[in-house]
Amino acid sequence: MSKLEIKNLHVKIEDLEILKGVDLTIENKEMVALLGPNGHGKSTLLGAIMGNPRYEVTEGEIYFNGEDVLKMSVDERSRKGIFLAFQNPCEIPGVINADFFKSAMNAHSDKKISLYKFYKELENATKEVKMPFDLVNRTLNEGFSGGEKKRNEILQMKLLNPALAMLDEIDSGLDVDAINIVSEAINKQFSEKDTSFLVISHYARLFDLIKPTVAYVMINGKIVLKGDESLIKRIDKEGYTWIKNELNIEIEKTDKKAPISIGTCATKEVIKNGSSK
Amino acid sequence: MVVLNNELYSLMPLELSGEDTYFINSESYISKDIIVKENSNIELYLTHFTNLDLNFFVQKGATINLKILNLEGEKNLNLKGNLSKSAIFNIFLVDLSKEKININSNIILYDDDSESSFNFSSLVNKNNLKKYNISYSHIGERTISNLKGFGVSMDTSELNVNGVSHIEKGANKSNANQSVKVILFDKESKAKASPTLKIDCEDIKASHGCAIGSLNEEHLYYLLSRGLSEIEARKLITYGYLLPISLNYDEEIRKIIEETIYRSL
Repeated sequence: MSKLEIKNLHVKIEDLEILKGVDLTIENKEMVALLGPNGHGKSTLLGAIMGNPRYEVTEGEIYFNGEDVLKMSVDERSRKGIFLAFQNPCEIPGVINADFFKSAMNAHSDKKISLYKFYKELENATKEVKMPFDLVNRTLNEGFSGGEKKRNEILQMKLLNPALAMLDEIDSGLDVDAINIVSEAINKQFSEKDTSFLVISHYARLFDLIKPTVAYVMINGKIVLKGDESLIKRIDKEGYTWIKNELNIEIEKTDKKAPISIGTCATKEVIKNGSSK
Repeated sequence: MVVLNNELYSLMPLELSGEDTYFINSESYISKDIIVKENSNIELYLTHFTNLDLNFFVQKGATINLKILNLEGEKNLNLKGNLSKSAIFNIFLVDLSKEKININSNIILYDDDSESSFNFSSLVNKNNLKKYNISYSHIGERTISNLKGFGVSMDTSELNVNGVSHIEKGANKSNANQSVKVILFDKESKAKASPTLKIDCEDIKASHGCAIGSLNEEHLYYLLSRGLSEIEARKLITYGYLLPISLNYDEEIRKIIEETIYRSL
């Protein structure tokens, strides 16, 4: 059983207020879609729940299973069952994937995992995400393709078996086959384990495959709409301008950008700015 | 595998040939000329030493890999190298001692197509100072030098790396690279890295860079988000800095390196 409750959450990055009063509840075994235009705070919300040290919570509360998340360190949040699949997972030179996975699994367990059990679980998880097993002996994300990095995130989700998995654009940079593999792994986790999901994506294709039970739309740093599958379909077809008209919301332009961080999609930044600088 | 002992005290230069692995174990001062004979392929381990001056002459087509492991004791090490046509001289240094060390390395890439690398992994702790002066002179054409180092400085210690690569006139199409990265583990520890390129020839390639700083916050956040405590995450990142060089050592020494790094952090 897990429940995430967010009340009136305000978050700043440096001097820029990104989240301006987010209210959101995720019940046990919910598959939640989070949509919204770029730069309106979706990734910031996930980062704030995980505890990104660059984000400052200025107001509001986050509770997970009744416990105050904001009082917990990042690693405590993870050990309580919160997981974030990063939009742009970082490369850490010299750190071997398998060593890292083992440390992470040990951190989530009262007693050290045996080598046999570790490799068995690792083998099963790599098979599930169809990742070549030799990638686990490579350094963490170094030289991985975009798709391999994303599958490596899902692999970690499988190994850590979280109560709440937050996936930040897990489908970006994936080809059709890889999206199918990742969505199958998500569906298996959702149906077989007690994991709730909070999923950001810009593409209906992923949502078609994982079938969220609830969808929220975030605009101007707030949740402005709640709906179901039909809301995702409408946004996919018509974009976000109808929300402006129907709800009488002015969608703020995001000229003043949040600082680029680990949660930022590097590819998107390059496309937006026309350069990598 | 041959352990060198009496040979080191003879007045004659030491000649190494064929394909073999040698060990130098000596606690007394030694100054020695070492000739690596033509087309030979030599591994030379330096695991126990105090004060050493070694002067290498690497003949045509020969390769020598000098593998240094420093675990304890104050030390001075002076290395010189003179490379003939197509000779290769690679130096690997794993320096994990809790005492001071001064290392001076001066390699002359004298003939065409010769190449050399200096690779180090260094842990400086217990209020200590480690100094490495590493210099290369490119004289022959198409010569290559690579200085690549990783360091961790902790407990009010200091790592001081001075790298100079000089590409002299006429050393056309030569290539010099320097890259030094140092993590400062705490606020009191220090590091200085001075990568210098002196270029007197136009048709060459050269690059240099150094990065000194505390642990990358984003890397730390990523590991913490998987449940690792900050101490564990810091250790894992630091192992990642220091361990990869150990792959160049034989299995027994690699284990010693791994265990010493685990114990030291």
